[in-house]
Amino acid sequence: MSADGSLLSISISVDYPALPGALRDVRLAIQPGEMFGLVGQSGSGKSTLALAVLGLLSGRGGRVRGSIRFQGQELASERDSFWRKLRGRQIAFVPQSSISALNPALTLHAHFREAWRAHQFGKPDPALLRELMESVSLPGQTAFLERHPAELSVGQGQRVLIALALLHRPALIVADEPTSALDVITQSEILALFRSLNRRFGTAMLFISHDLMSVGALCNRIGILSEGELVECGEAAQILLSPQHEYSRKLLSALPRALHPADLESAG
Amino acid sequence: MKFRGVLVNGLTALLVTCSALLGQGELRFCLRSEPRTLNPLLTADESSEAVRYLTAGVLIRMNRLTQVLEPELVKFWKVSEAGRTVQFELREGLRFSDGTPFSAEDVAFTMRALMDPQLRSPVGDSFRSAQGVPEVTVTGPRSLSVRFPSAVAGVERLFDQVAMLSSRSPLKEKAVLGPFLIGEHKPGVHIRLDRNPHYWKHDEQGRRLPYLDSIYLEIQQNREIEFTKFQRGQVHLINALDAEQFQRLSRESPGITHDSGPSLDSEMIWFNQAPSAPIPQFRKDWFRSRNFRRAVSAAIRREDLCRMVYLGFAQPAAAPFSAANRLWHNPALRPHEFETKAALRLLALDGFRLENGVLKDSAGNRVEFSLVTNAGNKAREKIAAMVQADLAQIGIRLNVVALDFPSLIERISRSFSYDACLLGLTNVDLDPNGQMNVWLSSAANHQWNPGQKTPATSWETEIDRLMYAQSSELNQKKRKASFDQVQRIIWEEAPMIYLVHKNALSAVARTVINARTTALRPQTYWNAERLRVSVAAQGGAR
Amino acid sequence: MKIVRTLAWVLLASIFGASAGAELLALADYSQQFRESPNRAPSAQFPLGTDDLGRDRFSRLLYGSRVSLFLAAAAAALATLIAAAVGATGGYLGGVWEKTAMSGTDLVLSLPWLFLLLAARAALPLNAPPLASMSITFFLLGLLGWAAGARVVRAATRAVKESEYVLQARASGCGPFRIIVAHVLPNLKPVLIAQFWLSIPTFILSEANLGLLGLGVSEPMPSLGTMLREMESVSRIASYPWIVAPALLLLLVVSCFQVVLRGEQRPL
Ligand SMILES: Nc1ncnc2c1ncn2[C@@H]1O[C@H](COP(=O)(O)OP(=O)(O)OP(=O)(O)O)[C@@H](O)[C@H]1O
Ligand SMILES: [Mg+2]
Repeated sequence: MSADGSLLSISISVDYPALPGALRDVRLAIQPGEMFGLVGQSGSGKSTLALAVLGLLSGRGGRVRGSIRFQGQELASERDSFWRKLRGRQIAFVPQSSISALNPALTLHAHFREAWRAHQFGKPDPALLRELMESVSLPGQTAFLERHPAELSVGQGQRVLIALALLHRPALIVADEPTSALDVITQSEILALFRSLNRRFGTAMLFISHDLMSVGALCNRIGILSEGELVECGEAAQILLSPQHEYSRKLLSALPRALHPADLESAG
Repeated sequence: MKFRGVLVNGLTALLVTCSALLGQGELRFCLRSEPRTLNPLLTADESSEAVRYLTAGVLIRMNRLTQVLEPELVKFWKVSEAGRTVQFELREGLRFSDGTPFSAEDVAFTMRALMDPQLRSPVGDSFRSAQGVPEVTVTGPRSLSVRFPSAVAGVERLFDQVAMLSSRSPLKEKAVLGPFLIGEHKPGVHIRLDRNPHYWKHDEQGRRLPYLDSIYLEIQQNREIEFTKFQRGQVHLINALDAEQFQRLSRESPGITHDSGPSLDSEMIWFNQAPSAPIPQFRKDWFRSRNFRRAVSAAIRREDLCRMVYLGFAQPAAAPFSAANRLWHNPALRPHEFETKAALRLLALDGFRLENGVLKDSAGNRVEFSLVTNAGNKAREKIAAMVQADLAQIGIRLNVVALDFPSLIERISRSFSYDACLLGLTNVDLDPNGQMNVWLSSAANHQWNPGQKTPATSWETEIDRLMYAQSSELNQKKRKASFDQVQRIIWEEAPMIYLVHKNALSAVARTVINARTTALRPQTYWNAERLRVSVAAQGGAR
Repeated sequence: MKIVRTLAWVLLASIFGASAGAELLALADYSQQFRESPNRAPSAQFPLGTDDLGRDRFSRLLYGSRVSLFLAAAAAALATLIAAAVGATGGYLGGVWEKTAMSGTDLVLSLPWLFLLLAARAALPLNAPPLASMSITFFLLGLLGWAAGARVVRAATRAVKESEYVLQARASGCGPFRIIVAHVLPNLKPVLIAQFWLSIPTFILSEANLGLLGLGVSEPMPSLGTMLREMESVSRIASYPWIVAPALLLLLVVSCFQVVLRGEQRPL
């Protein structure tokens, strides 16, 4: 761990060729086992931040300045081959859309096989897979694993992506709007799943959403991103109850009355 | 239908008569490639030669029908000094197509240009010899003599190939003395030849020749398209028609096809006898054996080749010159008889034996060799397949290999890495002196064993002696006797196994008047200056 | 549709069966010259008539299609494999890799490969058995005939590369090579299969054209190519219409394969 004990601590700015300053001096730290929520409007730079943490921005033409420290190690200056060893094993990713994030030409099993091969020899142990599938409340039999993504519901797909992220028991999961494509009931199921996984495995999480409510339900701490800047960052309760920044207040006031964070606080 | 046909024919006949009186028109036919050069001194390919034949004036012309040399731009010529000197007396009042007068100086100029080593003229090469180049002396405005470094019989025939140039005309080689001049040239598309207004020849009625206004030469590689165009009446002539098209055309409209009998072309096989050849010694031994070569020859059914490859429009060949060469053909030689038994008998003399259908030599080697030929020639590929089947009958395995031309030439003339070769030879020159470079053992084109320092065999020594003898002999009878003997030796020893002479087939539209086809090139338009096309032909009737 | 597919299967099976069992089916040896009966029309003795040299066309078609179909398919497989490797690597890796792959492709496209083929033929021993020289010809065709396919594959790869599932695979820590093999290529299957099927008739025709240069099959062995060459002359077709049989056969084989394969492919 780094001097301050953080699992991940970043202090970055990101430029796209078409958009310099997509992120401007964003500083945040995530402690081991912590659930950190990042909220912001569409276009505020949430995905950009997620990709930066995974070292995948260069593929999208973005350039990172500053520092990304993970378990005390500086990553920003590392080459892709170094990042590759971390991705999936130490830092896993759960993308937004299960429909497009699963390869249509591959069976579920093949997805697991490839994710496994990225860091281990041989094939994933069937027992392990079954356990993994069950941990995300999916059937673990071979028949299900032989399905193609087109044969899944969206919620099932999202669970598969979460299972994939859990394959190597990472220290940190970066989840970029993992629930926004889902209906409300499925959404809450997935959130419950994240919470239980966090308890069981102690996996830290960078949970990205434009939905303050689900973030509030899940996370200990929250950061609010607006137009590339982290305008507020602190304990979830504090931000939800007495937001300092004007933008945070705007986000809060947009919530329906029935779901006011004051009620959620007790539920969380 | 029939009635209408008669009517149309009758009308055509009428039109033909009318237009014959008017005597105009455009003759159209196809060249099968773009001429490589329009400089008549550099002509080497067939298309260039066609243009040269129609535009160039020459001192002496070989009549393609009678095969007799005739004075053209000269009133007469005289050979003296046992064949070393030829004296020419030019006709009076000759002018180039641009009006520039033609004189003995022009002949001297042409000969100088021709012999210029910088020019590398293929025609010039035939005038050159080891002893040097001919010398031209102008003795008057219309008289001159050409002196050769050594006596060569029949040397004056070479002037049939020499297009006279003007030393003074600003048009340079575009000023011509032949019946036509180049009117328009669209490379790759066509050449239009126009009547030369200053052409000197007149017909018996005193009319200026040529009759035709123009000749349209379409450049057309595709023989199918050429054929279709002929059927539609868009072109008037086809030279060297292939047998299948000839047969079809003869059936459709008899009377427009012409079979002029065997041509000068021949197809033959020879075995590689070059001592430096990188092939196993036992094969070299086979190929050097006369019995082996004669056995192979006796195993080939030449009649079948003629019948199947050429649909009967070909003659079995015995020797280099076919009957088309009236002066030099040796009628005493018959094609080698097909006789399997005789072939096996000859092979047995050399210790070959047939074991379970497989021929083996005395050392037990299976008789197998390759036959190379050039790819893309259908007739030749068929001949190869048939020879392969024939030789299989006496237990020989023949591997037929078709090669692209450059690779083939590389093998047969440089690396000598081949066993046997099937090729055709096109004779243009009727005189045996034109073949010195083939039959002399020292010659580069002595294909089976080129460039020998001393003759490898006694019969090659004899051929050398006879070739030299005929070349310096002015007495035609004695020359013929010598060359007959050369042909007999070739027949006996079979260094070249002659297979077939294909017939010279051609087609001439009915609207072309005065056409008389011959086996010699150019088969159909050798008398272009006297051809006419009836006006109806312009409309497309045939 | 089902009937069509079954029919296609049956046709394919019988064509391949017939050419494999040429020895049993052929009434005469393919090289035997019935010199008394050249250019015969179809009859009981010669089901497809005879050629110029009196050889049984039916027997030649059986042998010729065996040699051609098999070798052309092998060459097409080779060419498609190379096209896939070059196109996908270049398209996925981008940058220098892509430049190299594309200039390599351009080079191969612009190369005077006739000369290469001629040089290869010239280097072969003259007494090589006909089948050996023909195999080499097809091998070279395969080795040289991939360039156009590589371009198509590259374009398709670039589309796949931008996809979410490739991002997800990268986020799982998969290396570029595995991504190309396991994620990109399976998605290009339709493209590759199309390339493969396009190549077969192309190669069969190329062999026919190479025959004009002496690079094709040598006497007396038949090939579909040499038999197709007979159709050059329209007037010949008019007088002997049955010589189109090889073309029909080729057409039939290719279209049957397409029907069968289209049925096999899962709807994505
Ligand atoms: N590859 C790129 N090149 C240039 N600009 C980009 C690129 N990717 C994203 N951007 C821009 O950067 C800004 C932040 O984008 P980002 O995708 O991070 O937003 P987001 O907060 O994830 O939005 P959403 O909630 O819609 O997913 C946007 O204005 C976007 O247009
Ligand atoms: Mg986003």
